[in-house]
Amino acid sequence: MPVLRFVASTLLTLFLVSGLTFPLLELHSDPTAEVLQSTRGDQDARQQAARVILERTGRIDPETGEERSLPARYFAWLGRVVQLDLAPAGETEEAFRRRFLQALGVSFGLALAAFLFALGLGGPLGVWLGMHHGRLEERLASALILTLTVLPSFVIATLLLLGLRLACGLDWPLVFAVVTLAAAPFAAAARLVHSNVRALESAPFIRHLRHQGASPSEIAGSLRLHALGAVRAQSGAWLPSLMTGSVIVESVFELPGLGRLFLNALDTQDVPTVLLVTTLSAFLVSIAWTVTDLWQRMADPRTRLPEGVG
Amino acid sequence: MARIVCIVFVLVGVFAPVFAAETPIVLRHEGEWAVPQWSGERRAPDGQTWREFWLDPERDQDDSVVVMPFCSWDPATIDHDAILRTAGSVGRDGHWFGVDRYGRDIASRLVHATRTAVVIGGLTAFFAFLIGLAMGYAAAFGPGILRAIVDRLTIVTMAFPVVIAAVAVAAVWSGGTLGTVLLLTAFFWPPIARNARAELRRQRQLPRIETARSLGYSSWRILRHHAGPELWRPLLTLTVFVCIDSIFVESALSFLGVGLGSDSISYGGILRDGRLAALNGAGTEQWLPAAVSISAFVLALHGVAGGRRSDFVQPRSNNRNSASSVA
Repeated sequence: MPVLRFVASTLLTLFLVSGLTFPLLELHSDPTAEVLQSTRGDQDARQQAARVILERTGRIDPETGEERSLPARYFAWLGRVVQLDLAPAGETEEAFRRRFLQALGVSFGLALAAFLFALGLGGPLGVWLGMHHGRLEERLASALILTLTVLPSFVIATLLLLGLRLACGLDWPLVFAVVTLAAAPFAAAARLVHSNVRALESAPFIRHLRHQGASPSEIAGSLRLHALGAVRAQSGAWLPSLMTGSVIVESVFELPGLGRLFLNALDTQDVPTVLLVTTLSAFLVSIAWTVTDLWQRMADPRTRLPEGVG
Repeated sequence: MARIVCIVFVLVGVFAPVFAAETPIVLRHEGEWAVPQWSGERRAPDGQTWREFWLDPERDQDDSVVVMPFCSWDPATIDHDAILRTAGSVGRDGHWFGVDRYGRDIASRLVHATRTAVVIGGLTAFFAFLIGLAMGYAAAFGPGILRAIVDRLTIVTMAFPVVIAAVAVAAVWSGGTLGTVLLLTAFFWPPIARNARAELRRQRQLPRIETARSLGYSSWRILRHHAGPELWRPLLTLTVFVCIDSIFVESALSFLGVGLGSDSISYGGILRDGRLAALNGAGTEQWLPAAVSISAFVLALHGVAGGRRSDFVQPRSNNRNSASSVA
């Protein structure tokens, strides 16, 4: 039953997301503008190419040749999505699918690497900072983390690109992209765990452990376990934001990911592809929230208890 | 300190047309004092541009006084002489940070970009706060059907991938500053609504709120005097973060070239131009000031969000806002 409810809720959300985005994109775009303004070929050929694009994007009915209404266009797009017929005009379905899956793979790979980087380094760093509070190294590291928090991703990307690639000759676009993407969640994880360790040090259960004569390493282990738990509740939401953040990173480092595909589709006013990426991102957000919720429930029994119990 | 920096940025943003313009702030010419920026005179008395008038060596220095703004260049003015010596234009001819690859004064553009950030960040935060509060109140105290609608709307809006959706909409719909504010507000009200709803639902169980409702007090009165004092603090903090996020997203849109119209100036746009110039061999002065400026502004906003202590947000210390008169 909860699975059915989740599926129904997700489908409704996706339907509303795509339904709200579709009219905004459709009403303000003209996918034939580039073809019609081009000087290549004669006018008939350009008109024919424009007609193919209009048919492909669902703006006119291929059988009757009449212009479709906005809801009809939306449902035509929806029908194509269900049939996995997503290729834009001038591209075969197979070629588009290959290109799309490759872009998805690049973006997902980047997001996953950035996620692991942020979680793997940010959490332990936060614990270390919490346990070395007040020392010079803690202050320096905290300042660095705060700097990463306030730097927008496009500034970090520009710094890496111009600082390391141009000045030092290091040409590692993938590494730079992962570092850029991971900077914000890394800083967030470190800050969160740091403040949690500080708060937990005076928690009753830690005081209890101390009174019972637990060793410093046992206390540190307990602190680490509980402080890292807070990151768990938030980390699931990072993955979709990392994937959507790749729009900027892929643009700066010229990586062939979902972000580049999306920006290219915007350039050519390919509304179906833009809508596909938007809806896919919304789907990832919904999934990420659910996974985070389940992860939290599995890890913390208190969240499983019905209301009013305990 | 954070508050002071923040206030400086806001003042620079609000008074950008005064601080960065080619029109003098104060002028004394032929014995008469004038404020050309106020009167909107676009040309000097003898038909020259104000810049030519200011720099004219034949002008009677004893009889006339010209007080120019700190950045004496208009952000859109192209200094053709400076383009030829882009790398060496820093600090010359009033170009404090030099000129960009089009010959436009970077310092002046930074001041106007600060204005864009302040206006978009401030207005987005303000509207998101209002809408979020209204939605949160409706979800907490409204009838069942309204709660369900608001909850679903909140979930749907939060499911939007902000950057992707904003880029998609901004690319096809260039609504200028107001359009960008509306677009960002549409994405940023849900966190405030969710927090307001959670806090108000918790407070709904409290005897003082029940008492206020049973006495038939209006929604506004309950919010202002009874539920509000404990609500403002987290919501105001969240609103500052909305301001930060909206500045980031707007700059990101401009960086990608899909933000405000072509005549608007943004940190993201300056960074984009500077990055492209740097890739073609230009120096760091083309993009570094914008990077430092946006980071400093955001850092100051973080400081304000993290370190606020005021009577307004501390209900216990403010008897006027206290709910004890009802409970």
